[in-house]
Amino acid sequence: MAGPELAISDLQVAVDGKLVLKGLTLTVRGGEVHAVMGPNGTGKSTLAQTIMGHPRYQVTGGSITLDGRDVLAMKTDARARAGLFLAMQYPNEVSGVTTANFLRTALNARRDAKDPVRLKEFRDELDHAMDVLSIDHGFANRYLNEGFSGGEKKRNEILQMLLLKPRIAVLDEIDSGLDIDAVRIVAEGVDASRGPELGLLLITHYQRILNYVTPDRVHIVYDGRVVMSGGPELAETLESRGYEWVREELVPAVEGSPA
Amino acid sequence: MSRPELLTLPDEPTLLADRRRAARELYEALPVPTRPRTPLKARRLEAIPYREPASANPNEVPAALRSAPESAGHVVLSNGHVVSCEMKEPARRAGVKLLSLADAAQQEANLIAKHLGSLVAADTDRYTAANAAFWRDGVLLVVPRGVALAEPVTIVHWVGAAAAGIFPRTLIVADADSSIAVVETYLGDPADSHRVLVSATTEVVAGPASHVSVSALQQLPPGAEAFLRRRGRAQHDARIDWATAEFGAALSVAGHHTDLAESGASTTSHTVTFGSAAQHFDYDAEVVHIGPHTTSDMRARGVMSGRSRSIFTGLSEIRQGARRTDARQKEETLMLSPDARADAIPSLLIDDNDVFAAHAASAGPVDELALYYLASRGIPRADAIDLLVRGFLGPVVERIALPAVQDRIWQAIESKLQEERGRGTL
Ligand SMILES: Nc1ncnc2c1ncn2[C@@H]1O[C@H](COP(=O)(O)OP(=O)(O)OP(=O)(O)O)[C@@H](O)[C@H]1O
Ligand SMILES: [Mg+2]
Repeated sequence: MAGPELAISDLQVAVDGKLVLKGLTLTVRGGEVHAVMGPNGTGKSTLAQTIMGHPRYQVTGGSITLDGRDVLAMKTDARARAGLFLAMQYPNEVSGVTTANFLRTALNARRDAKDPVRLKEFRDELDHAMDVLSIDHGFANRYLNEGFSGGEKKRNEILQMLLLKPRIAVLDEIDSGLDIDAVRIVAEGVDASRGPELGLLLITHYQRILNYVTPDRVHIVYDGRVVMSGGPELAETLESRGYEWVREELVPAVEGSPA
Repeated sequence: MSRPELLTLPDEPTLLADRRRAARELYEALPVPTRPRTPLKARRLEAIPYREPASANPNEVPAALRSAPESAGHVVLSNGHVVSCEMKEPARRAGVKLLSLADAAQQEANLIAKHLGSLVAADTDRYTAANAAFWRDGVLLVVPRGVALAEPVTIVHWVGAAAAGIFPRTLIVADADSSIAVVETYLGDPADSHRVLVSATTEVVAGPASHVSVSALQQLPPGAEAFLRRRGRAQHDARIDWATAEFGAALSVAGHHTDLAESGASTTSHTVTFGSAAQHFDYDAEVVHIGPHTTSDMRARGVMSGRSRSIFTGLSEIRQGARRTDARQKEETLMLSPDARADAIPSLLIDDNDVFAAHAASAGPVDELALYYLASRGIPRADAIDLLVRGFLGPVVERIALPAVQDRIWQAIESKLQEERGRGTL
């Protein structure tokens, strides 16, 4: 099977009636890592949540396809089963549902009802993934994200990614709120899952995670559009010169361009 | 042709016969109760021929319910009559008594005279009076001083296909320093929708420093109109824990009431309700702090689907002199359907200033953002609701003393969820 391809084309999205994405185009293929950077409030999480089908975000134009299939026509759970994954910037707390039970349910949702994942097999895989991410095994029996620290929630998102093995994963600020060691552990976990069958879209504000997961492309999102794309060096330029540089360099050109 | 009604039972000790006659008079005098949110008159309960209490039909009781391997003693009632009563050796050796009330009336006349009806007063309402007037049998459990049973005593109340009126009573007397768990289940064939009135009472006399845990699972058949009254009195340092689950019946007017009569007494209560279709639940949980340094913690969680209706009235009363008491209540309801309705009415009645009391009630639909999060991992909506409902009820279900009963409650939850899925409402 050919590797996955997520194609976002001229995407326009409104939140509560306000247009946030104003024609965003981006393609991620299996084996690639794309970093998406940009100032606060420019629409990065909006992009991520729209890919997954968050009910608050209304698509007013453009398209998203996965291997040519219309993603926007699918419900969120079908998108996930088709291979999309979103590590959320602010994962929900789900009271009363243990992480292990939740993950087993999620895995079984991908399988034939007559062939649920075997408990031992599941446990082994879970234990292994927890070891990779240095997560205490006790977390498996805690309620999903409830009372987890910010960093623990982020690790839990990557844990889910390792178990669910998506084809396209969007990681929304998976490095925020993590200490230096945790960034390395999480990044190594992400890096280890790289391969031709996984395309990654990595939303971040910082260069440091990109030191471990070297991106193929870096995109800068500004005011709901990709305004600049380049190689890994673009992230380094940003790190040293800041977004002010992007504003000065590019915004007049964007604003001046015909609608 | 109807048989002539028996006012008293043959061989009944005079005292009990007198009480029964008095209860009968009360019953005749009391009107159908008026409950603010439960229109009882409209249910036409009086059209049910319940005044002729049903006779036993042991063959109807499913074999799986006739024994309970993990219990210290097991009693099976069919239509309000004890049809089997067994106690295991360790309990017997420790001097525990487990008797049918019919036998106890003869063998334990003094205990019965002293305690039966001492807590659930016949004049509570018409259907409690009916219980006191029409009861045929029930269970007496006596735990001697200092005896602690590791395994619970289980009581099964089976409602048969031909029964119109069922009036069992349970009396638990725990002597000082004893410890006992009792699990009562009320059930019948879920496919049987004939109308039947069930009025049951359970009384708990908790002696000094005793610990009594009472779990009750109400899973009556869909035509049942139930009145379940439970009341306990905790003496010095005694503790009564209630865990009640309301799943079945068309109507259930139920509740538990605890008197913390002396210093150091305490009680906890956990109530779980799952309403579906047009079920109606009206539950009262009450605690009265009489002694100082008494504590109570009352929690209820309900899931409401279909057009079901629930009322949960929590009352914590703190009498004057009950200083340094601690009374808490928390009621939470998960609404699965916009057509369901739930009222949680927590209240505090405080007559002493040196106390801590708190209450909270909340109700709301399933958390859509949590559903989205679960969906983003590939879990379909119905399965996600399943997970959330189980997660919501779990902490309360876990308070039920017996794993086998917990399993039955989980099965009940599962079948409720399937019922809703079948209707396409989830
Ligand atoms: N649920 C929402 N309700 C209201 N406004 C929203 C919502 N989500 C996003 N917005 C608005 O849309 C814009 C883009 O937000 P978005 O979260 O996509 O930014 P971001 O690029 O991810 O920012 P950050 O770097 O701070 O995470 C902001 O103006 C934000 O206030
Ligand atoms: Mg964001």
